[in-house]
Amino acid sequence: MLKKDKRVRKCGSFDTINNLRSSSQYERKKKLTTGGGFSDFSDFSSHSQPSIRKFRSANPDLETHTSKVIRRRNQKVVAECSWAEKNTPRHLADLAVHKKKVSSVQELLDWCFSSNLKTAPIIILSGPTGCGKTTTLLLLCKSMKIEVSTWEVPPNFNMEDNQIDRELDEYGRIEYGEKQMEIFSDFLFKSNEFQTLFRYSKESLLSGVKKINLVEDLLPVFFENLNEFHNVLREYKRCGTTPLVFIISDSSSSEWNMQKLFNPSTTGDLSIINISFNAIAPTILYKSLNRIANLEKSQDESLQLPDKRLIEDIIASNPGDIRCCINALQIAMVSDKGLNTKSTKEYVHSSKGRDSGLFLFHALGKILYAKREEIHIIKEVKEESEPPAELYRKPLKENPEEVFERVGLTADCFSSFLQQNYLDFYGDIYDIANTAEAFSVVDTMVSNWNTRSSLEGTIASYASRSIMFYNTKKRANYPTNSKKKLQPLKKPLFMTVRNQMGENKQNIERLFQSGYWKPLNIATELIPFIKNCNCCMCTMAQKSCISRSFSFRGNLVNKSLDQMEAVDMEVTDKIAYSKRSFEVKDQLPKTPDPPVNDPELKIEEFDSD
Amino acid sequence: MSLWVDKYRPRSLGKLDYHEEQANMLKKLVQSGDFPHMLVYGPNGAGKRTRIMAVLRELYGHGVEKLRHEHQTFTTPSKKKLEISTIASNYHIEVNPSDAGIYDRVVIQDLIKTVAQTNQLESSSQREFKIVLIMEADRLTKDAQHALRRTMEKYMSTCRIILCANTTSKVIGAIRSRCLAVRVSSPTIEQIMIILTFVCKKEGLSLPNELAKRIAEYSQGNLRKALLACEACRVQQYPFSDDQEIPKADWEVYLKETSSLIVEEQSPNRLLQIRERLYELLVHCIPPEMIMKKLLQELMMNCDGTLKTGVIQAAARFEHRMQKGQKPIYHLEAFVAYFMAMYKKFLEDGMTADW
Repeated sequence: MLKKDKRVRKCGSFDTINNLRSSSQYERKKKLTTGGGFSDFSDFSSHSQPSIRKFRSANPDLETHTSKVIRRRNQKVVAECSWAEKNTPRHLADLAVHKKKVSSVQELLDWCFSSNLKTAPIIILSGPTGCGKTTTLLLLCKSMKIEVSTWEVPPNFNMEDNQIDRELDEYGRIEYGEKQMEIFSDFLFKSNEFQTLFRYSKESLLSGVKKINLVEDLLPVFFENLNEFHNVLREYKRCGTTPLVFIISDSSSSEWNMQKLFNPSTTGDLSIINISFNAIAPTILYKSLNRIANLEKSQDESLQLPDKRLIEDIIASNPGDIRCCINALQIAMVSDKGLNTKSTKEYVHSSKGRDSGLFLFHALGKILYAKREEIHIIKEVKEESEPPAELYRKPLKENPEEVFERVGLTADCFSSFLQQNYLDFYGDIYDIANTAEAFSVVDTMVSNWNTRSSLEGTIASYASRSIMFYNTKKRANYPTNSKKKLQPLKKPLFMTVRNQMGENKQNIERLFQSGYWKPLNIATELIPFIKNCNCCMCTMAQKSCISRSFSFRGNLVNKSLDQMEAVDMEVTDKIAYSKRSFEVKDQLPKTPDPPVNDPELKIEEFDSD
Repeated sequence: MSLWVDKYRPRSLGKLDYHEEQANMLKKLVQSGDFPHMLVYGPNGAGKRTRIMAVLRELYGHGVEKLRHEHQTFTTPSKKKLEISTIASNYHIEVNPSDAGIYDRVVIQDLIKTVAQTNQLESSSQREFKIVLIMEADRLTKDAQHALRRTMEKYMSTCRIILCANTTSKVIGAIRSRCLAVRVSSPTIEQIMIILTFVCKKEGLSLPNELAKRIAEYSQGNLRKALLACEACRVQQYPFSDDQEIPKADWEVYLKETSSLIVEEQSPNRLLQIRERLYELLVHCIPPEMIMKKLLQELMMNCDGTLKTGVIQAAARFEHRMQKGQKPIYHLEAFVAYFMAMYKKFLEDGMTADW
């Protein structure tokens, strides 16, 4: 048993070194492996596609080498290698990312190396999947002659290995978390010391190497031991020298969310700079896809060039995700060979409406703004059953059921978000009365536990449709923040109120306990009485409790949104994070975000350049 | 420190100030040897609790007044731990299962089982049963009530149950029929006045009749409230004067302000403001039913007679839904919105009529 342990430990330490791509020792080892048993390495590469992509771009010398070997080993693999990998941009000009964004990243990198920074800058690149975050960074680094050392989760760094590896602490608890965190911090700090043997030129050798650390793979440990993780970063900030870059994909539903990892307080604390990427604009996507299609065609004559509509379809079905688009294009074109075009189109259409989640903020916006088509449908025949004119509404742009499905919340939660926010969008009290009535019904439906699960969809649909339907006179000027077009949305207060209520109840039970008093009576009768008597006959504890949580005027101040935010974060409220992301983004400088709720506007802005 | 309410609370059945006949009946019941399950119900501050304690004392003597607070832990079927505080003497245990929320069934069953399984130490000199006192029985879930029904029969030999509730309408029929129902109605204004004067005399104060009457009217039959208000008056000003202001509970004042805000303006912004205020009240542990009731009372004072039926109907509807639902704010807000719409329509109609 002990022997086995040792072996694994060894393995683990090797992986640690593996991570330090730049450490010379590792490079030597790699050469050995490539010469001798290369099969291991190719296994590894097929095992994790993204990692080899990174690898290639980071080390161009190695790239040619490895691909050659792969080609030799397996011809077929090369022929069907993913176009998305193959056509990774080699030059900044080929990049499908908005030029302004690229230049802002460049500026940031310049700043990182130019000025005499006392601490290591920490940068986050965020954005939706497939918008070119990594590619941009790596290309920039290449052009600026910056070395990249990438944190990679070693391939055998899975839970099973870890289980053997992990040790029990003195209390018998498993502390595998620390282990992984140690490896991570090892990577961070050692990469400061070691340098790669692959140099771009002699000059860099003389002038000192510019280098960044890139972290793309996030371990669950980071999320589990947030404090630990932040401590590592803080420590790094203090003694590290190399800029540290995180690349994090936006995701609406997953718990692996940037906002969880870097909440605003830590962002401020560590002075983290965030650049958020936008999804790639359709026009740029179109150009890139065309280019790739032509390129592939020139290499393989048997391919058929896709027609314009096919490309448009592909773009529409994978909005903003270039990797996905290229994959779809490849499948469409390759399967076109010999097959009839019909099935291809079917494929493209079936892949339409990629099952993407929706940020809660967007979803709420869709419901609350309740945008309608401007075209008035003229009906030729007046039907008998046609509703009266006052019940007629123009067709909705968004389907509320679809929105609810994509947001991935319970109806209860979704409706409470709506309930919290709908008042800001209404201009007329009659409409509000109708909607409020609907919400009252929603609550009774939600509370019925035995039918709740089956009525989920109905409830959400009822809540959102009543909001959309009854709002006849939308509020013209939203109360706050006129310069921003967006109405800030709030989190439901009710949960907080309920928590506070419970807390207060416990407090009074504890402090005023006596045989004859029920907590309810204490709250409604005894406490007002005591206040009326100026707290003359109660203990200090009781007095402070009353003045803290039972004064009407004082508490109102506490209830500003920011306060609530902080409280809500404590409660394990998963949804809260996804909403926060927008607030965070809004606050950040440098990143001109288009109005998030308006898809048309978004496109316009991209097209303008 | 001791509040007048606690200080002058009658300790035995013989000393009760009103409902003497009922007290006699209870006394006879206790003396008869056997004792049924009991369901005591009546409005707030009418003296249910006082009567229950008096009955317990009648049954067991002074021993029941040696109370101890205990924290008991229960485990739900889903392995969740619940901690419930109970008040117990050697002869009885008091529990408020509504603290346990939806798990009250577990609490009820476990508690009664443990109590029933231990026999009295000296059954010769004492009663051979113990008492489980369940407060706020009307807030028990249906599930718990059905469980209680079975348990009541099963452990009849060693344990009696006294339920205390505000209303019987939420207690299932099966339980009502197994209990001796005792209604404790609120004291009349005269009875309250007598008690107030009596208490003041004991304290060595003289209470003017007029003030006593006003306090009694303010209390709306809630004796506890009356006594507290009286004591608050004493703290604020002594000697008493007839036209002295009775200090009102702050949440009542707050609701009064809220209602005038509602009447003043009917707009979405105003409703937002009202919502904030309603939340505030909820945070202060004011039960939503009371908010609704008080709000309705205040609004009724401010609105035209023609609107009143509609308003009351709406209040009833939303109150009903509130009982069924979980988020009182939805219903309170819906009620306020409904009132606002109605009131605004009324005002607008009035304007056009004037023109």
